[in-house]
Amino acid sequence: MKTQTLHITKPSKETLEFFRNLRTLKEENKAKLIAQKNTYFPKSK
Amino acid sequence: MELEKKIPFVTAEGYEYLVSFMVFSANGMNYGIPIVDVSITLMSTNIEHNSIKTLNVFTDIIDNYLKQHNVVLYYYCDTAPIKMRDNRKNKLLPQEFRSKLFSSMFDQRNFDNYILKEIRITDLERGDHFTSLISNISNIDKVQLIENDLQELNK
Repeated sequence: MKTQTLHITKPSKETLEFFRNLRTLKEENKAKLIAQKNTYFPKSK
Repeated sequence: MELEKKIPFVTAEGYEYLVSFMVFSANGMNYGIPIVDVSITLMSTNIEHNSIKTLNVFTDIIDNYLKQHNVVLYYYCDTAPIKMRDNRKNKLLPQEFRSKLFSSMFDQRNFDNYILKEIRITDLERGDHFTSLISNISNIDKVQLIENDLQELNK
């Protein structure tokens, strides 16, 4: 497999903002999925 | 074929996971190929410790998805705690460990038809960000376009 790495060591304000927003969105989405746990893993009666 | 999918599964260790694929808007940018967010969500607050068998299941799910859909997948590494070897010489951030795990999951299977791009953004205040892009090798130009845009954003 072809693996490449990009490391931005001095990110601009815009880059940081983009990735911080991404983290927030991912955390919110994770919380939503966990709140719907019973939909995906219904408890057997 | 529907791009958005949610695949639940329970590991041999009893952890409940949801692997979800969701279309990502990429700030409205058009790369000529859908960008799809893949998340591997542990559905409890446990700190997981997974076997090679479980990691192979994750890899198979992602591999099957990429065989059926011509997309660029992006995986943003979660910052939640994760079980690492106590005697590990280099202490890693949880998201850094996940990034290495994600790459090694694919490396060990010797897939020769994929390109994997690891992206690390240094963030001294909130902890570095780790993302991976993975797609069929035939989409190497699209992955490069995404990288170019990221470099442009950083100017």
